[in-house]
Amino acid sequence: MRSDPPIAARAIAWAFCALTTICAGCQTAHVNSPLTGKFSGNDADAQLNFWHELANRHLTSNDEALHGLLLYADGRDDAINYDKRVATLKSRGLLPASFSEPANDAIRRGDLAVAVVNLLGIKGGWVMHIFGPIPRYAVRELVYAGIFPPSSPQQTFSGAEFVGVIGKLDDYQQPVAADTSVR
Amino acid sequence: MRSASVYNHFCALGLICLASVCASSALGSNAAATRPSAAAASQPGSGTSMVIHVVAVKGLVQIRTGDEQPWVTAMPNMILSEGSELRTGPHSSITCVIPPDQTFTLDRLGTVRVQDAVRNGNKVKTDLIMKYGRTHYDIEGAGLEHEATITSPSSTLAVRGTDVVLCDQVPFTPYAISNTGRASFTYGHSTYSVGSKHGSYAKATGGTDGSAGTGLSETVVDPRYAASLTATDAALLATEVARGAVISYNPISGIETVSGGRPSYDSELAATVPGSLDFVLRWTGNANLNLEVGVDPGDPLTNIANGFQKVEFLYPGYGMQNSPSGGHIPYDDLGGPAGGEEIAYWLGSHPTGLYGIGAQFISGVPTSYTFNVFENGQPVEMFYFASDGVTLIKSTQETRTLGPGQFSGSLVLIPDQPLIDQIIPDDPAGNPNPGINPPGVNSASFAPAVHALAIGAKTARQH
Repeated sequence: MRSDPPIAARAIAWAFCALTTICAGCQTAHVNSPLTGKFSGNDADAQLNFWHELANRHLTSNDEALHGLLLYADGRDDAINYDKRVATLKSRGLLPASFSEPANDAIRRGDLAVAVVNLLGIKGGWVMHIFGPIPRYAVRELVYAGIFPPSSPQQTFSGAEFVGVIGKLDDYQQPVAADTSVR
Repeated sequence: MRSASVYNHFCALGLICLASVCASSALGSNAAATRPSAAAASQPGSGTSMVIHVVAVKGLVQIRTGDEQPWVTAMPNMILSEGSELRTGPHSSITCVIPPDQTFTLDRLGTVRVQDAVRNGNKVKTDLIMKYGRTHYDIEGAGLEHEATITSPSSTLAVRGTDVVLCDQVPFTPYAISNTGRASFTYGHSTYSVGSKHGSYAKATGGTDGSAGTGLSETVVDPRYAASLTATDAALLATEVARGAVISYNPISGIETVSGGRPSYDSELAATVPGSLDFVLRWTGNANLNLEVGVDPGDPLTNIANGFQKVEFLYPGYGMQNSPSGGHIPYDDLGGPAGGEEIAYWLGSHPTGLYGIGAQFISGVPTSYTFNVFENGQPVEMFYFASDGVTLIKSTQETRTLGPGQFSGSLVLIPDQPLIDQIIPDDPAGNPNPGINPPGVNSASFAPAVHALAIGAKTARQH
């Protein structure tokens, strides 16, 4: 005849399950095969394949986002890997010196917002004047400017969303072209 | 021997034919990118397929003639056909013309397929399928009947003789714009007309009630205009203007600003305060001070015993000019050579409790300032520390001096508590302190003693 386990043992088992679930839920989303490995060149084919393949992906990794940002800003990305990209962006003051996210983790909106705010030279409101472009307020400035959708800094971007945000960046920098008559 | 020779001739002929077929098919695949296919050019019963001319290319743009075809770089003067697909990169665009009168432009980071471009007699049917991006479409009326649509995953724009834009790109809501003429914009289960015949710019965003709803949601009312102000605020600002002040609006702090003018004199003040509870800060020097009011609602005596807890807070701007209980600061006075005045007021009912009134020095030269509090038009006692920093004193009008980096404040009990009033002595400088009066009146020459800071000092950067 089988006896039921004691209540304490069951409680421990439940706690372990809950802890495992919570820890699994807290993991940052991971991108398995970033497009930077497949379309890393600077030719038109590689660039357009990168943008339009990215639009079909469920997530944008840090590596893909920084590659996209360099392509947008310079029209090319000469960095041969993620570390070089991060170093390039840090040297230009677009990323904070403390940025150390893994290449294949999904990009956080706050991290991207800081780079975009620096790229566009957005000065922001009084909080950003005092504290500089920190993720929380960089996101708010970009939401106000219509470049980001209403967001929290911890959210990630799908590929299509990232491409959409880059499109809005384009509109922000060339407002005359946006929405005007073709006549 | 002879049969072998004939056999060799046939083999050679066969190889030549095979090579010709392969070559022609290979050439045909290249030519397809620049010429409409013969099969598509004429379709019995469904009209004639129209050609599409690429007229302008900017940046990175590629086209392909079918799903299985390779992408090739787009060049001006290329000729495309139905089924062609276009894609663009950042800072890029491609403009195509479908003769005689249709022009479309796909700009930055978009993909469009020309699904239909057919002419049947006097009727032209065009359908662009936009996976994402933004497409401008222009049809100039040239005696043809048009049935043109731009279809995206979440919306459709039907175009008839107009100049329109459709943008559909996650994570943003799709929108349609008509620069001239009327178009029909479908989003979700709703269809709206965008623009009007011979009309001008109109925009409809998905999820709104068409152009009118979009216009309303995008409207920003400049708070300087009288129609956007409450009657009370309009009267206060009109009084400031009458005293020589200039009214403006600070979009960063989100509040009207007042520059120049002068503060109310003592004789004017009681008659001009608008609320059932009013906190007034006035100053006379060329400086910018800001008024702060903190509220600890409840029983004032209990709150004193428990210590002041700032539950509500009023400050001129940054979204803090309104409090949940109805407190309001109508403008931020930036001061001027004759000083300035800021007010916080409650109309109708106001919370009982312990209040704190503070003055924060923002910029300028050290200046004399005066606090007044009125409940239902009657002056209320304020409690603050004397110059020794230890003795608590009271007055219904407190006048002191504030310099750069300093902050000064007093406590107010609402409603007034006679018991406390009896216990706390009056300010030796008078109850009320001399305030602000017109030149020539004796007390106008009053120079208040420079007290130590009333409740505390902190830097002007506290907010």
